[in-house]
Amino acid sequence: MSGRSPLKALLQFVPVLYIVSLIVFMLVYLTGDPSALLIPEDASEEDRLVLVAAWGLDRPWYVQYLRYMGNILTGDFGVSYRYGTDALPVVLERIPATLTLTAGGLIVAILIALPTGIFAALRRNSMPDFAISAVTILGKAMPNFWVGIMLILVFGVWLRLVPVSGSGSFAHLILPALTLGTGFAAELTKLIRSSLLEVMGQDYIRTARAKGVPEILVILRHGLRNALIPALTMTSLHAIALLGGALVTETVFSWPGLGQLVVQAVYTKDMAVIQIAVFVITIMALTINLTTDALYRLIDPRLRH
Amino acid sequence: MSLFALIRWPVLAMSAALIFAGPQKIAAAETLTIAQGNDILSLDPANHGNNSTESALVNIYDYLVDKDFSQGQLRFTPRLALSWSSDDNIHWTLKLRDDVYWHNGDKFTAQDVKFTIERSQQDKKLISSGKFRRIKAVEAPDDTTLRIETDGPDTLLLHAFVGNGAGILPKAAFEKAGKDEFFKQPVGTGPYVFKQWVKSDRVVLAKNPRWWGGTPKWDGVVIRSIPETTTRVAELLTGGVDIAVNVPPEDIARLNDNKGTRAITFDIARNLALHVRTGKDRVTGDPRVREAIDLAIDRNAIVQQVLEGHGGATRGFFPPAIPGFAPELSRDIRFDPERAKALLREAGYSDRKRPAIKISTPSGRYVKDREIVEAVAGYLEDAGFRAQVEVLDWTVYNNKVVGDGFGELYLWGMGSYTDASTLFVDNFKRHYDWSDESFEKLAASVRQAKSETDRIAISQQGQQIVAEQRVRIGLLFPQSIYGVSDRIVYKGRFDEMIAAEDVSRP
Repeated sequence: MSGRSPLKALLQFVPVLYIVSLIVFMLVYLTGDPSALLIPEDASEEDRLVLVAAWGLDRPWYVQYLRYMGNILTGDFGVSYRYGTDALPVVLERIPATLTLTAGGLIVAILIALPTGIFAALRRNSMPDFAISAVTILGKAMPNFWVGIMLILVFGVWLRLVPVSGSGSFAHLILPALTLGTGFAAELTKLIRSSLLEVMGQDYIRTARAKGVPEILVILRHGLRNALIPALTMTSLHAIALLGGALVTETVFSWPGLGQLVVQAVYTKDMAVIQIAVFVITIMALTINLTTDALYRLIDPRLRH
Repeated sequence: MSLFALIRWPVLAMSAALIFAGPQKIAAAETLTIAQGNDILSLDPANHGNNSTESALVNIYDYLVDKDFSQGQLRFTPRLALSWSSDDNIHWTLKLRDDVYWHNGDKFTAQDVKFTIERSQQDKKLISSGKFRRIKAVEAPDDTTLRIETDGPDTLLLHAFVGNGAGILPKAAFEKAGKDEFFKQPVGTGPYVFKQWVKSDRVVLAKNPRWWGGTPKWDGVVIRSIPETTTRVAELLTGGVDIAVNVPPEDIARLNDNKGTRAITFDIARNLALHVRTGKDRVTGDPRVREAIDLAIDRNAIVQQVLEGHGGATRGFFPPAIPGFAPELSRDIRFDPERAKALLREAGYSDRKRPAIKISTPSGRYVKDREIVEAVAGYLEDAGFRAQVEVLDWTVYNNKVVGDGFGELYLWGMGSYTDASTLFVDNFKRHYDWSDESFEKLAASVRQAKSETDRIAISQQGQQIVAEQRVRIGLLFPQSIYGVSDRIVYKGRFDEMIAAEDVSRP
């Protein structure tokens, strides 16, 4: 969790990226070539074979792999079979939408989970606590697909408050962020509640109260601060999962993020796009891990040493 | 601390967000918004192989000729080419329009057409590189004349000038910018000028004020990619889009009941058929078993029950508007379960020894594909088969088609054809383990057919052989169902291209 220098962490990722790229290459190679998925429906077998030869997909796997790795070392990440253009920009242009949706989902989750988690812990075993527990179970049980469609029907079709789908403005972000955020908020609320309950029974809380520290400060400064570490861990893991693609939510709302791109690339065996997407997601995951480490140190001074 | 105090700010923030987001903007009156199920793949007309993409590109680029199915039969009508002629179906002369300008202001000439054809032929990496394979030489003696020589009599030449890969590109602008730069801001001769492509989201086009066909009907066209059907329908219901493609039959009533929207249905260039593996090692190697399958299926009931009537039952493979359509295969819909049972008994099967049939289908690729196959399996069970349905992801499905990895039957829905001679493109020996001397003779002669009439006759004979030997068992011609707004008039097109100029205001 701590004591790892960012540079060392980055260097450790070079072999990881290499191994990941080899595994992805082999898996995609084993599923066959993409030509049949991409040629027009009325094209002949002869046309397909010309394309396979032109793309070099008739060569042995090791020749294809060496060519691919050789290109990467010279900074050429290859051409997307599906889009017919350089694959790198195809992936990179999805990152802003993915980051926006991830941030939106996390902010919604935190805005819901933090106050409700604290409240449930403070009113332990009360009716409101039971109600919150019931809602969190419901929140966790409802699939994103269903939540998304319901939000569209209520806020988009009936109330006409927000756009149904698409991207490009803050209004477009609201429904997908709510869809992603509410599901995660359910998990996070339960975690904050249980962590806070555990912390609030500690001696130092009793001491703080005995010293006459106002209850709100006891909760926020002494209780919550210590209860946040597990919540932070869960949030960072969730953020990594979202960066890898919130496919269902992206599809329901036509959100142009990485999830849709990666799944389509896998469907069409678009090797270059899959590889770059895996690289990019891995690097973003590393960045989140490093940021989480820094936040741990900020929250808990003991970890700075 | 009260609950309200804890959640006051988040709730206020979210409420404010909803309020400030404001009511959804209704598309401006002069903009036509189309919701497709897929994003476009490329702005290069020769490099996508995808119908949704072509449907967007037909608004930017022009073909030499147009496909017109409005009379119920394919006719070629002038587009960039005003006329075409050939004495021997080998040497062709096309006269081109003299009043066409590219979006950048340059004049369109025959050199542009020559360039488009040669570029496609030379760059083998292009997905539609095989489009002009039969053109041996192309010359542009002057700005409005094009001379083409094919590698033999080619009655299908005009078919090469429509569809995927047929959009004409500007030689000068392409060569000046280079391929990558050109397709960032492509230039066509069509009624709409490319403005923006936000991948997986939308393509934005604007009116071309210098269009050779007059003033385009819309100030702008937005083509959105909305893969989820429910969302596409919701966008239509809220006025976010004017056309929503591929709506399921169960949504028709909802669209018709909603004020301001309706559903339209129309015939399309697609068929659904069972493809049969006829190798001797399979139960379907026996022609009697294949015939039993053909007779066991109540196609009319499938069309009525599964497609809610939006299709036509057939034993054929090409719908009526396609040149080479074999009408008797759609007239003679055989359904005779008793005869099917008798055939199985003749073939040595009984209730205790039922022939096992595996039927594979994708799910969601064609309208109601899985449900159709499940119904077929039900009929086969009734006739005495032991039917097993295999539902596969489309990627895996395609691999199995290429690698011939299926069991006895698989569903295939060919589409986007303009001629029934496409039948002969398939490799029957490899995919179905079937060969027939008379069919092979027809396949060899169709390319050299001296006239349109000859080609059509050959195609019809080929379909008869395939249908009678049950190498493919035709099921139905599905219709397309779109949701449309009442602010537009649109009938749908047989080739499923949505040209904004075909859409008008009431």
